[in-house]
Amino acid sequence: MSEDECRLVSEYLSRRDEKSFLEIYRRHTPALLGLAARLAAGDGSEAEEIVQEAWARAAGALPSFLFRSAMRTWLSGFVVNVWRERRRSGGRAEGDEDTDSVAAAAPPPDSVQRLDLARAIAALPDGFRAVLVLHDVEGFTHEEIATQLGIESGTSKSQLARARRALRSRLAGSVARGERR
Amino acid sequence: MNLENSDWTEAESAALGALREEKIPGPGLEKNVLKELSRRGLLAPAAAPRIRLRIAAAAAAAAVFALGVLVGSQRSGRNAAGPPAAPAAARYVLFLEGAQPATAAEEAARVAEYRSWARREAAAGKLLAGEKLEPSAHEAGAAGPEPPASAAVRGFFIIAAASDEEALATARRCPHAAHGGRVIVRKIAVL
Repeated sequence: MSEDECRLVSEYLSRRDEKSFLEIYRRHTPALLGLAARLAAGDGSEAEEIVQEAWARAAGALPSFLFRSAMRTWLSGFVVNVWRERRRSGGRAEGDEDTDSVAAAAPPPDSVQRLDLARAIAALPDGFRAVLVLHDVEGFTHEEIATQLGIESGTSKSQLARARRALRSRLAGSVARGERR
Repeated sequence: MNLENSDWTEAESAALGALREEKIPGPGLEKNVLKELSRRGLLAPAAAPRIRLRIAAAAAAAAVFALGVLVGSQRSGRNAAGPPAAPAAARYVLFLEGAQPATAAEEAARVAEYRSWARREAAAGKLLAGEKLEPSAHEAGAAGPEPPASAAVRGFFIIAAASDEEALATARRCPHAAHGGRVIVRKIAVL
C-alpha cells in the first residue's frame, strides 16, 4: 500500500469526509467491478450492486484494516463475500447462469478461446469459480485467498486443483458441445 | 489435454490472466455508494449541510432565474424566453472501426492503452461508458445478402461533450486512431 493511500485512509478515518473516500473509491472501483463482473458471470448490474455493498462494508470496517495486505486484496475480499452471500440467499443453483449472456458480456478479443474460457469459468460451481478467479485470473496468492474467504490456505490450494480439473473438463467437453449444466 | 493435471501451461496461465479486467462504473454507482455510506453513518454529517447548501444555492438560482423570466416577461411582453441557457453537455457515441492487425501481445497492450485513456477521460467527466464488441454480428428484421454494416464496428464509447468540436477533440485523443482505426462521432438524439 502506497504512502499516499495510507494518508487517504487516515484522512477518511479521521474526518469521514466524502473527498478522501472518493479518492480511494475511484482508484479501486474499476478493478473491483471487473472482479465482481467475472464472479457474477458477466451480469453488469449485479456486479454494481455487489460493489456498492462491498464499499459500504469496507468503509465500515476500515478501522480494522491494519495495512497488512494490499488494499485491493482487502477490498476484493468484501466483493467475494458479498457475492457469496447473494448466491446463498438468492436461491440460484450453482452454475446455472445463462451462458449466452455471459458470452455477450464477455470482454474483448476476437478469440474463441477467450470466450470459451469465460463461459467455462461462469459455469463452474461457485466455490470453484471463486478460488479460480481469485488465483488464476486476479493473481492473488493462496494466503491472500485464505484471508479473503476465511479458509485455510491448504483448502484454497486443494480447491484450486479441483477447480482447474473441472475447468479443463468443461473446456474439453461440455462447452465445446454447447451443452449447459 | 491432460484432464488430471491441475497445473496450467504457460499459455493457459496467460489466457486466464488476460481475463482480468477493469470496468468503468456506471454513472449511478458513485452516488449510490455515497448515499449508502451516509445512511450507515460512515460519512461525516458535515456532508449533509453541504448538500443542503448546494440545494439551497440551486433553489436560489432557480428563484433568481424564475424572477428574471418574470421580469423579462413583464418588460418585453410576449418575449419571455430570458437569457440563453449555457450549452448543456450532450452525449455522443464514438464508433471504433477497423485498426491495424495485432498479435495477441500487441492486442493486450492496446487494451491496456485504451483502458488507461478511458480512465483519464472518465476522471475528467468526459467518458460515460464503453465496450469492445465481439466480431460476430447478427441482424433482425429485413436481412440482406451483405453482412450487416455494423459488423465493422469493433467497439464504442459514449462520451459527454458540450459541442461537436469538443466531441471531436475527445475522439482525436482516443488511441484507436493512432492504431490505424477510424473513429466515427455521432451525437445521441434527445427525444
